[in-house]
Amino acid sequence: MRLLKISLPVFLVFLFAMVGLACYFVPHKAVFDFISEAQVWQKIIYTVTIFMGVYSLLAVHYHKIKRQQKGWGYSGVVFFFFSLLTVFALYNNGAGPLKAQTTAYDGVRWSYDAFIQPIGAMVYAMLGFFICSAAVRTLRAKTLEAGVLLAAALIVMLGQVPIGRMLWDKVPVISGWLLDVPNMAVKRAVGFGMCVGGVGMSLRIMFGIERSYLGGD
Amino acid sequence: MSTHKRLVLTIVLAGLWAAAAGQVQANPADSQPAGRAATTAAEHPTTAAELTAGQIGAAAMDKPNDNGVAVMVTWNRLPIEGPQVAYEILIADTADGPFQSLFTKPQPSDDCLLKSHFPASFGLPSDHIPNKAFLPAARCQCANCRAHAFEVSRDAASKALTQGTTYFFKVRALRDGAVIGESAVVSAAPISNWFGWHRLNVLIATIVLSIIVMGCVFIAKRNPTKLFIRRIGGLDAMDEAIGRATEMGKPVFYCYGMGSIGDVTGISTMNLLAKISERVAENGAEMKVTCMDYLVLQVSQDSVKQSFSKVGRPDAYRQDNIYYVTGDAFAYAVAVGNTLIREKAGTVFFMGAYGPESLLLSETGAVTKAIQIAGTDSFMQIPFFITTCDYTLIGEELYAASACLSHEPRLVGSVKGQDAVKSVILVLVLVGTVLATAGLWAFSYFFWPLG
Repeated sequence: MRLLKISLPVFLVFLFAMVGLACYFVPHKAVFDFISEAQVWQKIIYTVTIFMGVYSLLAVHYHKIKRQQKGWGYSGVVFFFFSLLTVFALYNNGAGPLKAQTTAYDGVRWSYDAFIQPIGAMVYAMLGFFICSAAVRTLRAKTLEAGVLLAAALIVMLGQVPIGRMLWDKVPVISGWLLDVPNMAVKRAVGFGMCVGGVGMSLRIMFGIERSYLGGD
Repeated sequence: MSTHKRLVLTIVLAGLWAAAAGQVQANPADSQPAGRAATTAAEHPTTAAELTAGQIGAAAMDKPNDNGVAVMVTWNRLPIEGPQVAYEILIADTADGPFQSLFTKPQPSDDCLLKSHFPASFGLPSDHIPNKAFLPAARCQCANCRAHAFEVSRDAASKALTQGTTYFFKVRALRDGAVIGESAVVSAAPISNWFGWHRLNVLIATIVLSIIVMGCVFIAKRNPTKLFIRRIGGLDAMDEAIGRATEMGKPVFYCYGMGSIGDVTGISTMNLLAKISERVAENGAEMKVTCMDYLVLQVSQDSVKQSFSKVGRPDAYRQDNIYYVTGDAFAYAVAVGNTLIREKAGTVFFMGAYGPESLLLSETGAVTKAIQIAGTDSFMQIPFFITTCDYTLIGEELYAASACLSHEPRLVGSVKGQDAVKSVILVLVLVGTVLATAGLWAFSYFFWPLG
């Protein structure tokens, strides 16, 4: 049992990690062909998991409706639009489900334009209000650090708008310096840490030291 | 000249003309192959050859470090270059031709087509060439771009070059459209290479970093008691946060970001889920996991199930509590946000790669008064999480989180190894900064992409 659940997966991870690493350093055509083939396998596996994902989604909402949990009406909306889009996709603008999706403006595209895109835009627009409320909370100068943050934020904000230059022509310059020097230095420091952390994480996984995702220790 | 001599001369000239005309008629494909954009000397008025083949100095070579799809043609930068001067590169399948025009380039002004990821080694500024390729230093002799290079990946009919097939090239110099010189025929075959020498420094760095990290792992294994790593606030607060949710009878939410199973972020978050779900199972709280990816969903269900079994609570595991929401970021934010409010989350973990939805999620979570612990390596979202969450794991802290939680010596040792590597990098950065400030750039070249 341990062989199937831990040892074999760890061995496969090590094997494919080494092959993947070698592929980065070997530009030979055979390697390109292998990567293309591996990508096909990946797509097949991913396609299978799509069905499992859809099952999970529908099962959760089915139970909500069945138990009439709070907000079960929204689960009904999920089923309605899932069914609608499935019908549109199978109809495929008259071409049927066995043909490739048509390029014509069909029901799937209509539902995207009529529902998904506008709703997405609305949610994105709400982000502005969320930023305001988060900023109010953050920029309360209760501590020295918060005070420095408030001052820096004010300068950067003023540097981005015409009134900043009107107040003092050096404001955009200071704003640019704050973004290009201290801000960039911190970003690079975090970036270094992440790259090294990524290498460490990869080594832990490759050598089977870290196998929590397999249910191991 | 006598009439007799004139007659003989006329006959000889007529004979030569007829022979030349006959030759052209006999081999029409040589001068104008059907269906191909043939360009021969006949299309360009020829002036007296001002340049010898040696002056043009054309050469061809297999493009190094590639999968056998291109060759490089190089030639000297000529002193006569000016607005009227252009170069033409011709290609043929055999040394005898017919040669067909592949490319005509106006005089390149300051764009010498000398391409490299490593231009400083050729004495060029780093932003010199926008489209990067390779040219060996031996061809360049660069004080100030003395060579041109052209990468050929398609023939005159725009067909990809065939690996292993030898192609023949000539380079012409043109002034006002007239040929003023032509190189000798040069040849090369595209060949697949077995090692990318341009990544040699990356390979060396990878080996060195790996040795340091693995060395620390072995040291940690031998001396497990002598390890110390900095405590991470977000992880220290984890038990308290889970305990609070348990006492209040509220669920613990673990919300994945966009990371998939194929990236470091995704795997890190799955490892962390395994540790957190163990603590949740020990406390007897309810665990809910929301996913944006199908593969992550499958692994998470199995991982949480095993964690619950590990602490002797397999009965508490509910598969429906680990579910796929959607792959669309904003739809995910709205759906999960509503769930947090509706189900009155006690503790929320936001782990993984996030986009703008991070603020929508964490602000909504803050409304529920839940303890929120975030961890992300998405640069732009870190400030939002710091603003709205109680604790935030920044960048590599997310990767190290499961190691820190496990206290397993080898895992902790690898984190120590990462710290050692960062120290090495810091020293190299400082040395490089000092040397660059002193005008000594050679040291920095070792860390640039080589081609």
